[in-house]
Amino acid sequence: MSAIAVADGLSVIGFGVALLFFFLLPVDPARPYVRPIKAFLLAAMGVYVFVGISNTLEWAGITKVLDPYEDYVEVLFIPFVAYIVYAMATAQQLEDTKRGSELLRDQHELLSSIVDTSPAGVLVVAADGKITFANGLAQDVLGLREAAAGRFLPPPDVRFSHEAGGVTGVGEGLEELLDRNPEGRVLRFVEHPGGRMIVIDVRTEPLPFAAPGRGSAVVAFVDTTAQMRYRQDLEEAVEVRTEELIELNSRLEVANDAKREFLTRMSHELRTPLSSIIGFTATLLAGYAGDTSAEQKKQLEAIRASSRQLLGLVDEVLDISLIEAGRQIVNWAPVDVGMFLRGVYDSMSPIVREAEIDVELDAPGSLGEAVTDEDKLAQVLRNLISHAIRSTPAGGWIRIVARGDDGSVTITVADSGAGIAPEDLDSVLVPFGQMVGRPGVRAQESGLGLAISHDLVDLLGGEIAVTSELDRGSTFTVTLPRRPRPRSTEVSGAPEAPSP
Amino acid sequence: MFEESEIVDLLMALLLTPIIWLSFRTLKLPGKTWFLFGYFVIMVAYACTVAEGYVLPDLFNALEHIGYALAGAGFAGGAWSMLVESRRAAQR
Repeated sequence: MSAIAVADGLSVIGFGVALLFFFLLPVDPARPYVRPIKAFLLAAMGVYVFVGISNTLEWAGITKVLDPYEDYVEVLFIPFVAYIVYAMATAQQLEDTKRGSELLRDQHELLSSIVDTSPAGVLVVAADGKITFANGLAQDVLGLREAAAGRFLPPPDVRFSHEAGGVTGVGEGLEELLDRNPEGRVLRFVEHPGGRMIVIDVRTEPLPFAAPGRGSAVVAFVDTTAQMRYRQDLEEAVEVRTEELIELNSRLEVANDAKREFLTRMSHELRTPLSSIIGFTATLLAGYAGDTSAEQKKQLEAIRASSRQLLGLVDEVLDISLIEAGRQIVNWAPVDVGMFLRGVYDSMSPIVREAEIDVELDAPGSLGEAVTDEDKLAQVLRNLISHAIRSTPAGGWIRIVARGDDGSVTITVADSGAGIAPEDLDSVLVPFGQMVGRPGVRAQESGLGLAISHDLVDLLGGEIAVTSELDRGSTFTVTLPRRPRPRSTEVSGAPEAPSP
Repeated sequence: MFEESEIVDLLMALLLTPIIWLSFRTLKLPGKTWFLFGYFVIMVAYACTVAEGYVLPDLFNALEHIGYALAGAGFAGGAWSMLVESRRAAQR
């Protein structure tokens, strides 16, 4: 058997197997065009099955009867293949188109659902100004009526304008809007018959496939009527409240002035009889009005002590009234800070000794001078030292430390006393603020000394700060400029360890 | 000695091949390489048939018949791929 005969046999087997496989290919009933393609595939394979069989029969010497038909059959193979390939490509295009249509339909349904359920009004305005699409909300707000598929008519009696009470119809208004703002965000007013007014926040976006110039555009809007009304109401309420506050503040100022005036006058009026009481008590104690018994002297001493305490309180009330009224006069003069502090320290020594407290002054002679009001600064320091004495139990300590640099002088008064609770730190420098439940502070505290110190330091252009911790003491720090400059007051929280 | 039908087959194949190729390359078809191989071998066999009439008749005749055998194998491979893929798609 020659190689050609074997090749022909293999050819029959190969094309026969291919024919069988094509025959077994399933045909989807949804795709009937596969049937003729399959038929042509079978026919094409049949061509070479026929040729192979014919050749094999001939080589085997069985018969030559098929040989004359070989040429007629073989010539069909290439046209069959051409038809099959073309038909398959066409079928594939059809499948792709079908799939594309389904995808497009799904996308359209999804988009329609989104637009229909959107809380925004959406409409499409064509290049000729006609409305070709409007979702439910847009139809409701603008009063549109669907005249035909893809055509919405604006109502003649609804106004659409850039300001309330406009006279433009919806159609013209949309055209004007797109001409002026082809892309952007604006406010518009829609006024329905019967006075229903709707404020809409409109956004416009040209469609990407629109022609140059003003083409089709998407117009989307949100109903902002409620927000607008709320804003207007809020603005009106704020305006009314502001006026009320201004009036109330004005009344408070008048009342405060009256109170200040009353305190000033009352203090003046109280000083005279108090001075008389102290004077006459001294006269009685000196025996100018006759002999007094030991018990009478004791009673007179108590009257004098109470009167002096009351006079001190009246003086403090007078001071704070004058400061608040702006009637304190500052006598600026150069002061040697070291010498000044030594003087204050000496004047306070008897009281300190009586309280059995260890007091130490650390003020180097090189501190130099500062321009200030000596009397007022002395009052500040006396108040701070008095507060420290009243806060510190017997056996405790007070440190007065002064340091200076080119621009300022810092005086620190620290004690080991009761300290101030963190929540009270903010009120300790406020008039009467320290009178409310300060544990460990002796009863004669008027509540005005620290407030007066605060105001006086401010008047002297400096600042005062306080740090404290309960049961560990307080530190008051006064910083004064060497040359006066107006400053505000500051209160801070964390305590500092006092310098020895 | 050549035959007219063999010339016609070769000419038809040469004329239609570019058109077939334009459609064939866009097809998403399992076993595409097998079909391409089978078609190419058929073309070679056609050429051998024509050449057989002018030179080395025994060799080209043998090549022609071997070509048909290889083309049969190619088309069988392609058909198998299509069958397997269509059954897999039906299962999905």
